[in-house]
Amino acid sequence: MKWLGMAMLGIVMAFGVAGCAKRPSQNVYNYDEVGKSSAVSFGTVVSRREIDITGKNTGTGALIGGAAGAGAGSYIGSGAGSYIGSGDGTAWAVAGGALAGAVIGAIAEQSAADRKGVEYVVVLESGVTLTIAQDVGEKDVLLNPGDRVIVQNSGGYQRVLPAANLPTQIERPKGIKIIDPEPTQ
Amino acid sequence: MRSIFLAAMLLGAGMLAGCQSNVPVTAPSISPTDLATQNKTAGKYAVYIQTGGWQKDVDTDAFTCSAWTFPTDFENGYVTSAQGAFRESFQEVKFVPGTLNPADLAAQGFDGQIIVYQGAMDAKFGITPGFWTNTPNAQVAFHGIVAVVGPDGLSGQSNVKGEGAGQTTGSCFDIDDAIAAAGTNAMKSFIVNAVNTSKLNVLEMRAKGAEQAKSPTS
Repeated sequence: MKWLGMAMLGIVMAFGVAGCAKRPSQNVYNYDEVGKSSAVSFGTVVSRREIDITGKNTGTGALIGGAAGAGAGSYIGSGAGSYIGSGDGTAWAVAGGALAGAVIGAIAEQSAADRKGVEYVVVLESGVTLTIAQDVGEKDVLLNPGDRVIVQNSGGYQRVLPAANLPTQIERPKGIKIIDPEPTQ
Repeated sequence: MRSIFLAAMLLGAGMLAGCQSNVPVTAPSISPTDLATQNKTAGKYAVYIQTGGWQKDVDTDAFTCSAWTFPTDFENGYVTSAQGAFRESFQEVKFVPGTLNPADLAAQGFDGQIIVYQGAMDAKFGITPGFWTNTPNAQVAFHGIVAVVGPDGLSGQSNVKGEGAGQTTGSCFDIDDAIAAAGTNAMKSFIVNAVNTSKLNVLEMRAKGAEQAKSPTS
């Protein structure tokens, strides 16, 4: 029984950790976005609604679950083999454990990856209308209709960021004028 | 035995050291025959081509070569190629650094503005194992929006996509060639679609304008 408990604990811990993985959001950038400029467009939020995001199921859950289930099945089969099947029921117990573990692992991974998000409808200054689904990070500001925003495109990931704090007009940034010394005679 | 072990160590170190490689994507070459029509659309247009959104570290979801990452600037030559294609397709174009409002368009003598926004992009690679050789392959896709702004504001917006694939022969070390080829092909496809879509939207805008001019005003 110790084996079974350990296996289940392993699955839960694996997906607990996986579920904590940070996703790009207003305040979270991927390592590969750092040090690169991004394209931005200004716009206004016209609506916001909560959405369900279906997470990516990599199959790792089924794999870990299957392995853990097989281990647990092996333990049960070796101990209780005398009455699981006739004679040695270990193989049946391992197969059953692997199948059950894979199903539980897949479900656990999917539920760890599924999450809530928001969908913004943004009208850009050109009049172009976009809908953009976003993950919501811990410190993110939920934007309301009428809010001024920038839509940032960073490596194909589009991030809706608040722009209320940005000015609408600035002086042209000054460069450095180089003055050559007067020729000496 | 010792030399085999040493060779394996060296190979392993080489593999790890080479886990990151910059990909040189070449600018796509677009000829007038690649476009839907070779006739230049009449009128003077301000064209804004957004840039800066398509630099990405490309990696794989698969196990083979999963330690490899390829930082890629897919925009190398994008603007130059796109500008060339727009020049081939419209009677007069001026490339501007941002969007203009309808009043500014009219004041500057433009019939309209064409905007090419960058959207999402997908880029990934894989290795197809063969009997004697492996085939590194890559797929790249660019998504964007083409908008046409006329004297009355936004006239039309359309989604545009460009997809490309590339492959080579070799190992993880050779994937950059496949990514570069896929990037160039996808960029070419994106630019061609963007220009064709722009032409269609501009023609629609002009037809709408002509219709309005014909209809009696109350």
